[in-house]
Amino acid sequence: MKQEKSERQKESFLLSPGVVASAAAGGYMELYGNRRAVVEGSGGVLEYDPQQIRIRAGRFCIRFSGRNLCIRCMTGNSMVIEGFIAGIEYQI
Amino acid sequence: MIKLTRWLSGWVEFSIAGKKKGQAERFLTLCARSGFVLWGMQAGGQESFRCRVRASEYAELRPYARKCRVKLRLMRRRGLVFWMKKLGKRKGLVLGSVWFCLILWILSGRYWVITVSGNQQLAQQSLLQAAGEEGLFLGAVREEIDEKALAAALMQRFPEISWVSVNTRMCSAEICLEEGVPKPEEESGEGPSNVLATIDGQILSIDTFDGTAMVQAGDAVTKGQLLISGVKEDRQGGNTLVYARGKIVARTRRTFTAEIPLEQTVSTETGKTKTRWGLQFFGMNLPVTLRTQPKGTWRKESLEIPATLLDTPLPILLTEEVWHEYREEEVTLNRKEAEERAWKIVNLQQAELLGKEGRILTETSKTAVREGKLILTVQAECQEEIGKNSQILLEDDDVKNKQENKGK
Repeated sequence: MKQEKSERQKESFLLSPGVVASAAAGGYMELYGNRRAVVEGSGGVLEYDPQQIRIRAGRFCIRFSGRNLCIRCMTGNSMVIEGFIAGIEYQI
Repeated sequence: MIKLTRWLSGWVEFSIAGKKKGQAERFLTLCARSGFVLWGMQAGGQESFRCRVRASEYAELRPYARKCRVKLRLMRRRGLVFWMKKLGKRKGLVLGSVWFCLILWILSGRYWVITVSGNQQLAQQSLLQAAGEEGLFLGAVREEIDEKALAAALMQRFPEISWVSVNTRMCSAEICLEEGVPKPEEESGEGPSNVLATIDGQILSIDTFDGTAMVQAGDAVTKGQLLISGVKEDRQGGNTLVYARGKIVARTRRTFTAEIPLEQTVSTETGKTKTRWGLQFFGMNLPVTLRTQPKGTWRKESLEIPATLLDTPLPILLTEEVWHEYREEEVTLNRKEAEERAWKIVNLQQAELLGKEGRILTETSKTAVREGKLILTVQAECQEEIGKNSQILLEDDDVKNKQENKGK
């Protein structure tokens, strides 16, 4: 019951107008520690290197830096980045 | 799950090499935007990547590669489609797989393990034989067996069984049964009966459990004489019919005779043996030893070694046949040896006739040789129980009525 409630809260949070607007502006990103990042609303890869990955996300350009970075999976508007993420930087 | 679906649809790994910086990245972006799902990207060196895509989509990537001025090179192909193509070249393997599936399908539709549990007096072999005659044998088709009908048939065949059930599970069938307790002999008499003498003799003791004693200790009786009557008279003079029971011990005279031919054929083993091994595999007998059955006078001893897996018998049986050669010889017995054999036979006869409680009081023996045979005659005075129940036959009331009507 509790779990259902939290799921509903999560959904309502995700679909809230503020979140949608921010996702359109610079993507929606989920981080699993510093090992994995799931980016929704990405526009493409700008630079791909084991030390740094730069992707386009809405108005921004996001730069992941670290070690052994790789794109695990990639579709038209999302991607999964894995590796040892040392830093995330937003570039305008 | 994702890996499995990718493997089922098939995937290819290819390398992307661009001349200038950013060309490979542009290609990836373009492909992703066009709806292709890319995964497993690895930076392979200077301006080159490795990437995976569905096998059917690889050809569609060529125009994008031309547009971005990158070169694609196929590195690996994996998945069911490629595996099947590879297998297609090895026809024997495919044929073997088909055969395997076919045999598995055929064998799984039959019973290969039949066990019996709960039997104490009944022999397992006779139960299995009866079940086989009713349709449940090694290799019987599972769909053709009606467990309830089979259990009912077994109940009919063996009256000793009080309860039986045939439980089936996959390719094994278990006959579970419970044997009934037989009725005690004393209570088995249904109607009224008398106790009669089975042999001439003199009564030594008489204990009447039910009925009216007609003789007393010291009386001489003849065979068939009434000893205990099943008709009981009460104090008011009324008669009731009972199942007469009692223990009547009498002194009797019996004659036991045994004939032993002096010339006999004796089989002696020569010491030569031959062993043959066989394998019973799913009901089929396969010879393991390429040795034929020996001809001549041989005696066979068989041993079956069943294969089991975790206490479950398997339909695989190793059979060992040991053949012993023997020679038939004519032997002439001397008088002493013949007498010994004759006495053995007489002792067996006495034990059988007198039972556990009977005994020999005195005996005289006489031996004679006639027509190549030794004849031993033993005259014995015995002490034994001589009572035997004999049912009192009564006419039914209905029969009586009919007879009365006919008379009218």
